[in-house]
Amino acid sequence: MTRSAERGGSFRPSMAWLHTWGGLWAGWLLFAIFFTGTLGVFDDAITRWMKPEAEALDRPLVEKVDAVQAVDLAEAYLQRVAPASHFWSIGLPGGEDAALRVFWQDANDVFQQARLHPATGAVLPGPRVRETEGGHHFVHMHFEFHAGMAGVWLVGALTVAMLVALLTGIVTHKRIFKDFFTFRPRKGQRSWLDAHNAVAVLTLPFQFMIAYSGLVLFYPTYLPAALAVHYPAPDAFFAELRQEPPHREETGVAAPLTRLSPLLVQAEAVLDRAASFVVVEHPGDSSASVKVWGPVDEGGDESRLLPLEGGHVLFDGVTADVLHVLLPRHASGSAVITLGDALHELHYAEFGGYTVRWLYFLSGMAGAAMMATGSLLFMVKRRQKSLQEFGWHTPRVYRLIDVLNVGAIAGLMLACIAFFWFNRLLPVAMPGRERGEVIGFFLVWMLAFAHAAWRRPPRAWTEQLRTMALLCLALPLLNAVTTGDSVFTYLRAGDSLRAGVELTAVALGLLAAWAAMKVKPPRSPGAAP
Amino acid sequence: MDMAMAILSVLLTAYAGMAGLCVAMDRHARQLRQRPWSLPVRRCWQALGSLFLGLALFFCLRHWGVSVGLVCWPGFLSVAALALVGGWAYRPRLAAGLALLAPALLPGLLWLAG
Repeated sequence: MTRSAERGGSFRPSMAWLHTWGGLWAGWLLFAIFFTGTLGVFDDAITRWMKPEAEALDRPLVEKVDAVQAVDLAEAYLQRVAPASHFWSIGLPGGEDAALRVFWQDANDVFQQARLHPATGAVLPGPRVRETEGGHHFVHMHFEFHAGMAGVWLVGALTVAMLVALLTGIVTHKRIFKDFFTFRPRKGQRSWLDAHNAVAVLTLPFQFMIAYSGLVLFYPTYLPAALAVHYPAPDAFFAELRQEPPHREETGVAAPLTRLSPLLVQAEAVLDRAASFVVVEHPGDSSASVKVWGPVDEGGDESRLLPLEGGHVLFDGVTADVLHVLLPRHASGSAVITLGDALHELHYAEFGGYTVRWLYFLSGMAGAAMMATGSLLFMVKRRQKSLQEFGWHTPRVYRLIDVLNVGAIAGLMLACIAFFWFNRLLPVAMPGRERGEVIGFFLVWMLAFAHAAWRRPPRAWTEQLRTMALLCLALPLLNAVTTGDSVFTYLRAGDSLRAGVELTAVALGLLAAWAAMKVKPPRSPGAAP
Repeated sequence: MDMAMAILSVLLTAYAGMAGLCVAMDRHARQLRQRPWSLPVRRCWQALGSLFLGLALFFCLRHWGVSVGLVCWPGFLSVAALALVGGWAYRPRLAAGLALLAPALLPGLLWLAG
């Protein structure tokens, strides 16, 4: 596949070769990572939109919550239901849920949860909120494709490929400063190259930052050797880094758990704020520990990059001795942790409020556009004149690339908006609903590839883009029919998050409709089926 | 409102700064007038452009503080530059004219930023 002129010779042609082919093979999945990751910037808003029944949860159940009584009730419930569990967690009423929430690991190490009345301890009927991954679906897609560790490794490899593509792209781009502000529309291949260069060069700092920080976040996974050699378990490394006592291994020696409510009172006095969570590890074992968490400052300070921790107090679960205290609004641990936290914040956009999130959204979309225009450019160039890289197989390989372009770009976007439709269309009480939505997403994506293989490229593009536009533009209608809510009712209720989701969907729908119109009809006779 | 003003100030100055750098270039100067600028004029445009990019940084630091402001600044520059390039491709005169908003409103913006 290498042309002799590109193989030998100087530095720039070989970098161009690497950019073209590396970018092509990595580009399809990188587009999916960028598009879903960019939607994931608004995961909270999307989750809120996807749980239209959520309001029912924050309606207070009692006039004033007595935290001590609540913790006593939760402890009694957990002792009754899961005395031999390895892990309990008690979520005190407040925030998004007015109920007392208990979580535990059952005998099969599966997490279970229940909602209790904070004053009586009675189990409340199961959540009437529809089960959904909400915006987390997009976040999960972009770092693991819902494929666990295999997905994490795949995304890591693709991220390295992206960094290589960025560097080789800079080397390849001969007039990076001369063409800085250049976009020449309606000039075919020239326009695609201009667009590819403009979105990439103008957002280059963001593209480097997001790829690099994403890669570094997973260093314990991607570069595990040093940790494995020097520490018995990764936990020990992080405990040392955070200057906290190491995780205590289960001893198997039974010892009664100390009462939790006195620890809550003590911790609230130390932290000087109401607690939000009480977490118990290894209840009933001599290694038991209890951690009481303070709530993180909501909304916080928009001029801070690093978050203000809510603080926590760690107790020995048997003797009730204080093992460790992190006061609220204090940074934890060493400079390494601070650096890691800064990279974490930079990647997650959890600072600066919605201004920063919108900047990330626009820059992320520019990144996705960079990959899409790059993949398209590859074929636009070769449709003018075949470069015969694959000998007499070339037409078939080009056809494959065309199909993958349509499915990976238009098809993925189509699957993303279809996910919103599944959220409203699947029955609320359907068992395994959460998985159903995700399966629906992948089903639509696969169908898009099949459709792309069946139709000729221009047809496939217009049809998928039109379908996407239709689904986006009709989303408010679907919502109005299924829940009776709309942008107007949301705005009247001051719910800018849900309104924002619908308005953004409509804006993307208009963009898709515009793109569908722009796709040129097939030129050569017989190209259309 | 405070926030909206800060965003507006940064976007306008960043856009004006990018436009200044853009108009200094021969290719883009020709899109507005037939000939390129003489070297001193070109340097002036570049200096003005840089000055407005600096002003955008000032507004960022002023509203978001050093740590967040330094991250926001390149983000706003990217958005402003993308808007400029998109506009300039179809309506260069209009895109250039929009850049005049920042110098026109600058005293007011500076006064509001205090």
